[in-house]
Amino acid sequence: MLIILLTLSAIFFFIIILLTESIGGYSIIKTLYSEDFLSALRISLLTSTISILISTPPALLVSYVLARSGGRISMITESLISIPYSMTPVALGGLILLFLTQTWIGRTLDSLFSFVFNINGIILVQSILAFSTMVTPMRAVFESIDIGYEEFSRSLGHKWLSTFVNIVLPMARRGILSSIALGFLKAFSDFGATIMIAGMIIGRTATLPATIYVEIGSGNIDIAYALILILMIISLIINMFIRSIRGEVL
Amino acid sequence: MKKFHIKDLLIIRGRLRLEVEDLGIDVGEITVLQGPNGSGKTTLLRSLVGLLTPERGFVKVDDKIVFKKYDRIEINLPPEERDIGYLPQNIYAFPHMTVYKNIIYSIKTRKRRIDDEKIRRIAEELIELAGLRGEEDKYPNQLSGGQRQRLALAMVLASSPKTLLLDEPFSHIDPEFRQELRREIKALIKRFNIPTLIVSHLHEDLEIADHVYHIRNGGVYKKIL
Repeated sequence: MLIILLTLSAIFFFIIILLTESIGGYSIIKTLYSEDFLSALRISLLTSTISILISTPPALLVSYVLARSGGRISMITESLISIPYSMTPVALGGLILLFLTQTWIGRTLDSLFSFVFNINGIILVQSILAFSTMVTPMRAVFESIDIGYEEFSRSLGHKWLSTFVNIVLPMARRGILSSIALGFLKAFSDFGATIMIAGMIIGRTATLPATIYVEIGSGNIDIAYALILILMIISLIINMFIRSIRGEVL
Repeated sequence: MKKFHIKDLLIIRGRLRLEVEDLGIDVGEITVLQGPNGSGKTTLLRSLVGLLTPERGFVKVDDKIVFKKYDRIEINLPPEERDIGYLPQNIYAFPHMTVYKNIIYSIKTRKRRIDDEKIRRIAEELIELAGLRGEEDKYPNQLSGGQRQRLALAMVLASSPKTLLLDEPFSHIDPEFRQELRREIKALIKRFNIPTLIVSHLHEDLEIADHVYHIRNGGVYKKIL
């Protein structure tokens, strides 16, 4: 599977290079070693990974409760949770920024954790986006598991937590992994919400998407091109990973 | 009072109304409860296990009151604390675990303090008794219907229940294998000496019964054999 994945990625990469008239492949490869590119990649990977670690446990619990409770309250709660995922990222970023700067709770939180113009702000925004993205698919996964397994486990003498950890999570593992990958992709590729909170300070708060914007604006086409390619390849790999764990391809 | 005892139990679920005035089962006895489809047999078992809450009544398992409600709920233990082994109509052996791991998971519940060596010995004994020797590394979906049913019963027995409730245990089994499985399950129950309530709509299941009850007009009545 890995060989097919790498081959496809390489073909994709070289097609893009061949189609490029303005710059050569050598220039792109040189860019991959540049400080701007490496720092953007480092910030994006670091913040997305931390965001997923923060948002996955609550997403699992909330989606499980939603799946098992049902009814109108559950539907309304899920709709509210989906707002960050479905609204325009800039508006979400604006909303969080206003909360952090215009309310006393927000200002207190910001003075404690330094969100605005800081890498912590990226983690905050990405965590909200990842959580919002993961809840709906995770709920669907939990709903697909017959509640009879949980009832049987409890009648055997296992408490709820033991049943959740030993029965529900392993049975739902494929769907959970696929949801986490979707959440990671959403966090990793966000631009609008992230720059509203953290800005685009190269080497400090500029993620890969933000750096593309900065580099194109500065006329550094080589770097921008390399960043776009890397972003596309990462998206391709994660999408193929999602499909492979769903058993759709490979 | 018998080891497993139900008194004045009233269950109302939608249009269903079921009343059990007095039903007791002693150790090693098998009681079969018969009734037509939709008469509330499964609902009764789910209420006894603690998956549903009856309107009122009293349920005692061994020397422990697991449910008591008259004017208000006094006792209503969750399923994991009732010491009731429940074999649902559908087989719920865990699909991601092998036969051996399913048994181990079922032992490591009410017996957390026992050491690994003893857990292994109990598991081996149950696998032998359930006729699953040689199938330990298989997953439930690799077993036949009868083997899956025996695995599920072995899992229930592994949890050391003080009472057994079996919901239509033979209805999914091919008719030609039912007789043999019925005999095997009866032998297992007698060996473990546990009060057992089997609900069934199959007339042939009466042959393993020590006592028979039936549901009529929303009530549960004893049938004189």
